Amino acid sequence: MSASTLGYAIYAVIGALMLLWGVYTHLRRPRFVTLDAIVARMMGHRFWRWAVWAAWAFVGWHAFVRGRGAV
Amino acid sequence: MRPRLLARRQAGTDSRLPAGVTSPTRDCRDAPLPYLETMETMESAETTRAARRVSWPAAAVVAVALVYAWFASALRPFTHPQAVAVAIPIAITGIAVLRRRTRRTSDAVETGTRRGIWVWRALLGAFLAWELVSYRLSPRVDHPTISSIADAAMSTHPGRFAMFVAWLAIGYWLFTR
Repeated sequence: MSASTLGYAIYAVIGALMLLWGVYTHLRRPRFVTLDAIVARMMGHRFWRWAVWAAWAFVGWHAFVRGRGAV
Repeated sequence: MRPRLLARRQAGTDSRLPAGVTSPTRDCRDAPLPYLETMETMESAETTRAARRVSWPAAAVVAVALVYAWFASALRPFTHPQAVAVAIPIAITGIAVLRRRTRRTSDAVETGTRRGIWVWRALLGAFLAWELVSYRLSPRVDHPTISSIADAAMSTHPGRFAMFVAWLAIGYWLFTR
């Protein structure tokens, strides 16, 4: 297995686990905390609200302004 | 037999009174209230109908966002127009964050369960750790990061448009919680 395949595979596994856990917690709510509830809780605090905003802004700026453009 | 009917039978009454109430003149404060179930069912149905109903203003906002994303994703990176196109949603959400009031600790969100939060933390930690490991290693072809994977997905205008829409949608989801 090449290094790049391993890299893609690990991202895929983490993404799949996040998706599965997200679906599971959504179906078993309110027994388990959902991602929606975590975000709602974070957005209730000033520090985390600005941290989430900064992270979202960074992702957008990094991807679209500093990223590679369409061919 | 249905539990409520069985309860009525056990309570010694076959009348239409709630289970546990043998006489309409008796104190029935402790008896279950069957009409509450009906009310809950009606409220649930109304909520479902309201959720399915799409208002024209909401549809217009989605249409404007899609058109905006189409034109914004057609712009070239490292240019002023692209920077402005990305800065506008960032500024709008920044104003929304600024105007938002801090929730009190007595809110319902604060009293929710925390069970399973360690799984979310572990998954996020694993993602960040692997991103950091990949970022530190080179060459990028052998050690892809999320940025390089996203760059590949954004090598065409439709791909870039889809990513821009996803970014806007995530922003909307985050800042309307």
